[in-house]
Amino acid sequence: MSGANATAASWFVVSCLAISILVTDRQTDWLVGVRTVLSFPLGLVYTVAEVPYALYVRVDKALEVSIDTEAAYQQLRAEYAGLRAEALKIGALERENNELRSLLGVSKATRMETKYASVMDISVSSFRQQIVVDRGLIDGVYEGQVAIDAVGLVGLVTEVMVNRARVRLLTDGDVAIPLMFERSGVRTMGIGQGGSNYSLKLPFLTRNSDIHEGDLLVSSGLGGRYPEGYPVAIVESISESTAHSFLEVTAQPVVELDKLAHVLLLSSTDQDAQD
Amino acid sequence: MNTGLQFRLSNKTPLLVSIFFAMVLVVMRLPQWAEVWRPDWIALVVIGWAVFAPGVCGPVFGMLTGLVVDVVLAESFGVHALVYALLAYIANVLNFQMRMYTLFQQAVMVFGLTFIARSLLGLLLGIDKEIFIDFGYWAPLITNMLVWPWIYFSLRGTKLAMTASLFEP
Repeated sequence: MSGANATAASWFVVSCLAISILVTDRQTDWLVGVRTVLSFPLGLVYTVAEVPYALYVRVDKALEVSIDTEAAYQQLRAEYAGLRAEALKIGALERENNELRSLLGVSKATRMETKYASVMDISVSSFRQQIVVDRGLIDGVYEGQVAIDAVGLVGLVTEVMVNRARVRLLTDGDVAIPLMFERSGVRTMGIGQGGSNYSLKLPFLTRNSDIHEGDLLVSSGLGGRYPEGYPVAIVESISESTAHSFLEVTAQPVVELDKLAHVLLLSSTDQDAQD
Repeated sequence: MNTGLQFRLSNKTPLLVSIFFAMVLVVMRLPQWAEVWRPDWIALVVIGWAVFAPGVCGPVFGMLTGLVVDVVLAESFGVHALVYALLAYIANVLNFQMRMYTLFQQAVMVFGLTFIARSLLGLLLGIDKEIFIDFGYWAPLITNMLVWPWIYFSLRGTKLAMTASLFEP
């Protein structure tokens, strides 16, 4: 029986050790360095794991019917011209806005710089919703950066490894974003549903709120973590129950979170304006 | 307890390689519908080694694996360590029974073991965040049972091959 007792004893010791490590990691930040160092060799896991998907994409592309290059080129050219014109207009508006702001004595709006990153992994489970992108410490990524794509807000950088970073999606159960209804200007909080579905709930809207299904929610910029004005979600359903004084509202993110391929990481160049 | 039949792996490479590939399978990108069905590969490999090589793979091995998994999955240090240490311990204690069982009985045991592991994981992660105990939470238990035979044959095959090589002159 001594063998069984030894196993039990070692299990007991190991469990106590694991619990103390757990408490240490939750209560202090002493182990952050250990994690960063370990994440470097363990990046190999992600490198190997993305091979099948890369192969799949390549095969998929090879099997694709060849598109009419000339037509695609013309279409993209037309689109580019349109966007170029729009960008000019936006530049003018930005200048005008800054002038007006300076007249009002408000600090200049922060100018955002973007960094392009490819998505290496999307993991959605009962516990977390996050993506891993191929930029890290060596690319100057820092914790708290906001990730967007061409359509709207994606999430927040929560962990930076040497050449990878983890972005928590805005529909994760741990995330809350200050939002504003674009149409009516009503401010509220969006809270991630988590689990395996991509949606937000808006639990703090009263029955007399001016909202409709299909309304666009943009980030309100309150709290200073998420920049102002990026599209976030569209109201999907509003249900009223007499038992509660608040509406039960759910919203679908504008970004197709399950089909993300690339994101842009925002960083503000004008740090003073944040204060 | 060390009767000579109790064999100790002198070469730990297969152990590390199998854990590495289990981690790769855990972080690998899947279509969204398949995501909830992803088996807990690492738990299965820990159970497998704890059954077939109890001298090497015990609670300590479980804990070290868990610490590495905590880095890979970005959970607090110690969460998976605690879970896999418990898993390795139970599988160690049950290793003689497990080896006598038919494949089907083993799969049922694996269901039970991973049920305990997942419950503990949910409890530990639920301390400071909201988690969802829906069907998707328990779905991996079913796939764990279904993929167990592959784990069983590959790990047992590796072990037998290594044991045989020990007796070569």
